[in-house]
Amino acid sequence: MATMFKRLIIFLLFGFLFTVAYRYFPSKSEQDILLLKSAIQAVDDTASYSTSQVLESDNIPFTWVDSRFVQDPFQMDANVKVKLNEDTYFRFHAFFQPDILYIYSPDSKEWNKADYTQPAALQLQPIRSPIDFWLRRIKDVRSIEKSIDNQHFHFKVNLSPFNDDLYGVVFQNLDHAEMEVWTTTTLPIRVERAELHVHFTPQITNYYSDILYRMEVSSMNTSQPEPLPQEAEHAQKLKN
Amino acid sequence: MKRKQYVYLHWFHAVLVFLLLITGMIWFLPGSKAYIGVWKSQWILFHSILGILYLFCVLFSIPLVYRFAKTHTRWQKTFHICLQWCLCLGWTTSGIFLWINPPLYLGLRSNILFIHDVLTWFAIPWISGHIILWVIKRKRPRRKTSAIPVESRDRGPLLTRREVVFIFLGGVVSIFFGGLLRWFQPVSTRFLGSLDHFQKKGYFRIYSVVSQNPVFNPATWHLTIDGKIENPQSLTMEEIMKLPKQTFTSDFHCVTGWSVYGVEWTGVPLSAIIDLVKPSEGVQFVKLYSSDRFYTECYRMDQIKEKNVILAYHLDGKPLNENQGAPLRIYHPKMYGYKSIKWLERIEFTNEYHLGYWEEKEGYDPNGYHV
Repeated sequence: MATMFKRLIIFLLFGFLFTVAYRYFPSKSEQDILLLKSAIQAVDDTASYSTSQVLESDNIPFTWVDSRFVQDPFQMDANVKVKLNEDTYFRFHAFFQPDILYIYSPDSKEWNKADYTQPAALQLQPIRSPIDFWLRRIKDVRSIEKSIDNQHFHFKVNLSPFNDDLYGVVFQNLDHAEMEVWTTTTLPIRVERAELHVHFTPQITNYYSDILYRMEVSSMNTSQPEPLPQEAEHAQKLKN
Repeated sequence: MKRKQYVYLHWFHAVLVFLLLITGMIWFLPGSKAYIGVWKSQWILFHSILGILYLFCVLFSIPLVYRFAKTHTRWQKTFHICLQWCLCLGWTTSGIFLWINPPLYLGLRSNILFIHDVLTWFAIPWISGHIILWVIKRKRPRRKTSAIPVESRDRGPLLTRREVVFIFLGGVVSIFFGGLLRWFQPVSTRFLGSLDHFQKKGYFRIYSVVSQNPVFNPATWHLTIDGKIENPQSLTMEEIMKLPKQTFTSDFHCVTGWSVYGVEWTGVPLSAIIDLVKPSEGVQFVKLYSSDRFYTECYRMDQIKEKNVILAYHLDGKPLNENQGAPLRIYHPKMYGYKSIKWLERIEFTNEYHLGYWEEKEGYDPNGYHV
């Protein structure tokens, strides 16, 4: 009886050790998520970089954002072009200075400015930090695969349906979404290219059936934002 | 092998473990990294070289210790030998991982570091106890071994040697397979929940019931506190800033559906105002007036006394701007934004309940709690 009890204790000890190891060790997928997260964050840790972003639906691009960043002191500029209909585009050039945002409209040739507590300036936040959108997708990961592909780590990620918005496009009522990210393989591991493919549930109220959002990151540590033109001195303050 | 050589081997092992503990423990001392300073990488290298030497020492001693274990059949000896081998296995495998520090496995690194530390924290009292027992034993007169029956010497009262070996082997295998099984599991919700929450901060939409925001003039502005109180007050902004203040981070929720997350609020706790003005006994309500002359709000006394209810004058480290209700607004972290009246200019302690602006116009909940 005592021997049986002793053996039971020993096997309970093994079960406990097994459970603790299972509970507290990470899985490979989770390691890949952490790597992907740090690769996305590494972009913002770079002294300067450029991005080229495109949103398209049914292989037709409708929004373009080209931006250049310098981190310290923070400075960036972005050219934004949005397709309104077949031959009409809405365009503006935003200059994000440390405390003031200047916006130039090439069509009306008007300059406006606002501080960062101004609601209109806050609405342009996604342009100022495009990386945040990709970071927010990390918590939506359903499954992840990592492979090596032409000197890149290639992440293929299945996402759970999420709610978010970007450059005026509202992502809701999603059927499914996939994300592909290509990163460097040498330290610091960081994102060079990312694609998000979103499929909406078929509904009459949906404007798009699917959207492809692409971002390319380039000119690491060499990017230089366009200097603020002198005309900006006469910019009109944006009203609420 | 002679007994003396085993003693030397034991001492060599003890010195190596001691040096490893000392060079490793230095990281736990407060400010130790500052002392090491630029020698940090050399220090780690020294610790690693000691670790490799320790590993070779243990590997080299395996046949000798095995021979020793065969001739010394008490289960306690076997237990100690197994424990030392397990410590060596745990320290060296985790140490090698930390040394290589593969960038692809960021989360695993913290687990491995935890194991490395736990083994160290376990070993220190164990080794201390081992030394104390050895000292006590040396002072005691030796018992004649011939008086103890062979059966009692070979077998402990609780465990056999075989069981000791089984426990250690089984323990290592259980940990290994537990971790291995986890490695091939899909992403868990527990893991996703543990990640930093990269939520959108959001931004304030500016609502006002008048077409022109009240303009703050520091020369003329003052906050009136009156009604059923012992010490009516008329405070300038400068005087308000001298009152006890508190800073905390909290989310702002508007009843219309938008939120701003992680806002840093600084201001005077309403409890400090209550201490200052000393409301009469039995006062039930606090009515708040905006300098726009239209907007009012009303709180019960118990609501105003809740934690972190403040007269806010800084938002995210900066003074409130005109749109945010400069120079002063109420903030109640558990209530919707319509209760956080902007451009505050008067606080009245009263026994009569008044409906606030939106409660009267649109039938909003007078309590306004979102949590």
